[in-house]
Amino acid sequence: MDITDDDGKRLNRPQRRDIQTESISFVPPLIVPEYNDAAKPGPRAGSTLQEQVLARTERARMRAPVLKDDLITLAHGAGGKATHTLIEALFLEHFRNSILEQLEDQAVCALGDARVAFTTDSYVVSPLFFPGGNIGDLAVNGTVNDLAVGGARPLYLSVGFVLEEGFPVCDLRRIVASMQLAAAAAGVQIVTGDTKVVQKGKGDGCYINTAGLGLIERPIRLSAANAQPGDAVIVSGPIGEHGITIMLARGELELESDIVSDTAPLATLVSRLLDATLEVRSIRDATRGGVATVLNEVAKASRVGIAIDETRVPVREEVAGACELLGIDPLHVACEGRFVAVVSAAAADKALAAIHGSRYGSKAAIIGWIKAEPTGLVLLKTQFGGTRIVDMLIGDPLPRIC
Amino acid sequence: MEVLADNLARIERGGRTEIVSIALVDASVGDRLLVHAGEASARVERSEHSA
Amino acid sequence: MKFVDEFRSEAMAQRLAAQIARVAGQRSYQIMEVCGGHTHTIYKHGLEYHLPDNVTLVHGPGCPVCVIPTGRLDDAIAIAEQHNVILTSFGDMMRVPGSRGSLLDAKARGADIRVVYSPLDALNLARRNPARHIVFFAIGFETTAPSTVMTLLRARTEGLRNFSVFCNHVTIIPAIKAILDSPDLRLDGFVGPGHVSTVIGCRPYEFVARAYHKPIVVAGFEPLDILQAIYMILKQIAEGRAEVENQYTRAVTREGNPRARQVLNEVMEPRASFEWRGLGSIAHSALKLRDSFAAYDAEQQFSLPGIRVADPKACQCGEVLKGVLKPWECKVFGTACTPETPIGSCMVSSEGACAAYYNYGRFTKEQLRSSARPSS
Repeated sequence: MDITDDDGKRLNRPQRRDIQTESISFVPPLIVPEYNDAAKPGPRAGSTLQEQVLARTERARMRAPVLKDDLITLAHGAGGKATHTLIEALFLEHFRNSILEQLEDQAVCALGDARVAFTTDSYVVSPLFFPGGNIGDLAVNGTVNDLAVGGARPLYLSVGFVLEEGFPVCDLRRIVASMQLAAAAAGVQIVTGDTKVVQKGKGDGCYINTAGLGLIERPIRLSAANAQPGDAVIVSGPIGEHGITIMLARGELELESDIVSDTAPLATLVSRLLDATLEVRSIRDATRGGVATVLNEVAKASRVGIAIDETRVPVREEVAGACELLGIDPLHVACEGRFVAVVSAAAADKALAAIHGSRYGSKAAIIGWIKAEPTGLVLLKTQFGGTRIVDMLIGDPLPRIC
Repeated sequence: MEVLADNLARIERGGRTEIVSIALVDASVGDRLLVHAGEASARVERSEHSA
Repeated sequence: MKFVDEFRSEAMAQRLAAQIARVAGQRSYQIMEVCGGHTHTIYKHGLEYHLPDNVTLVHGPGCPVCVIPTGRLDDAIAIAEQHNVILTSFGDMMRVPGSRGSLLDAKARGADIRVVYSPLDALNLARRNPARHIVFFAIGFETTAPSTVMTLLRARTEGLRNFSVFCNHVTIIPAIKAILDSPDLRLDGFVGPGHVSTVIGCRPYEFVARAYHKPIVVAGFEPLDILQAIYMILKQIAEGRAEVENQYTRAVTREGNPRARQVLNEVMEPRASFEWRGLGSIAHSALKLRDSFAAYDAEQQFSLPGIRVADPKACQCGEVLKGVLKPWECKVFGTACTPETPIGSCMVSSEGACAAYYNYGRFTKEQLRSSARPSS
């Protein structure tokens, strides 16, 4: 099961990631075109041009990710492929250590006898105030959730403000008041912080960085590399609400809607889940890049396939409609109060019941299952009965949503 | 849906309301429209799909 | 969306799939859809999985993003780099490569480029920013041209002086003809564009049946529409007919939308010729603003390099777009041309055949189909 010790043995040691290839736009690909009439699974005598080309591209794909860009673009901040390439080819390359290599939402560190979860996030959302919240409670909930999905009890937060000269104090007061409310609701304390001010024009009102510490008290090690064929994939509620809320709140589109951000603290929800069963392989909160990105991360880290049923994915009608209009897949839109959990098949119903019984989890659903093949791919059975591949987010249709 | 001034209309789509131009179609309240990039190009009849 | 859900019923899809398999028989067919919207629906709903192995869909040059040539991209970037200009564009144009990088790269270098979802958004930007000049990078077939035109008429009525359009609208008929004229053509029928046809009607396609003897069926955008259109095409072939049929009767008439065409004609006129990435120059295949709208024509308001940049010699997108070559048969596929370093549009666009094949070609249809059946 999932009891491991900190010093060494991990279930599936994550490999260096496959090369992330880039392509255009936020239109979700794709399915295999009808070119494979020659290629059937299994060994063949001789080697056609098609097979040679496939072998060549496979080798190229296996190479380590390389950062080829000269300049940072918005795509690097979207949480999708470009972000992953940046992290792996630059940050991980330089900072490399065994803890960082896990690349989970939080770092699990040993401090004396304790297992501590440690995480950090920065918030650059625009606009600062939006239906359902503001940059302040977004920041607190976001960091609380990164700790919670590591199986930790969130305890302490730090907060760093980068304020722009001329930013109204009353707005800052509103933000800070929200942060305190959010912290109290999540059961954490903000224990240290920092403030910097930059000249007018050099910072967009207010940026926030938070870091968080939590204690892992259960004998569990959650990891995206733990998924096994047969496991169930659960999403804790309707998806895409935060990203669409921000999009509409920017006021650039002639749309009116009641959608509000789903920002919420998930520590209690995760705790209830883990109380009900420890056969949980991985929990990730679905922020930038959306559910699709989390699923792809799991598929690659665990070297498994994932099959999702579109009719089971909870999406509010208004979110689906807005996404259709914008040409975005709801699976790629950020949430701020939802997680994706992979649990064993045996424990799936128990897990779902526990989540349903919790605040913020009433609409949770099993959306699919882990398969042995095809490794590294996420497939979607469409509501229409066809099959489509769900790729990690490409490009950046919704900049600065968190 | 509601017809507004200047050849615009408020339409309902997917649970939201939206303002589009109806300058190129003859539309009245209750009609279904085909809209592209904010511009309605056709009225859509109910289908006869019975396959 | 209730109305739309009627068209998404899996049971009906399976019935249509069975009908298609029956009428298709044993011989193999290649059918092209000429509309990016159809390509999108096909991918999004996994429609190819409902087709028997002997019916292949070839994705034609109906993606207006894919066909914008390098030179025009460079012109757009040149506009964006002008002092005080905000260039507005649809999101899917942002990564198309020009000679010195894409719009996204230009944005990273400091040009003010913003993504919009309609020309009205760009107009609103102009209203709110009187001190800046807003240029809308207009692309698309006859589908989106009406919205560009209506936006221009509104701008003129309001007397806005800080708005112009960089017009790259293209027309579908010359493209279809260019494909039909291609010597290596191996297509059996066409799924005709849906939205374009609401504007131009069905009449313009008659030459396909008359002169080239290929069936063409205008289809709607719901998955069932497309399946039904494919069935109608195969049925025509089986019965030895080659006609223009309309599957999208609920929105398309034979005459189209004369008011839209009239308004289009008032503001725009055909160019003598226009370059299409991968297909070369095609006569009368694009639109430009009339002289009466010179004040709103970015090509007249800004001095542009206007350099015709040849497609890289190695690029064989033209043949792939026409269904003549499969992606792996292109000499630069997977080596010089990859999704990270795309040379042509087939690799740039996520709907392009080459990008799809590069990323997922190693899986057979059967493997994907069986893997996607969730166990319960």
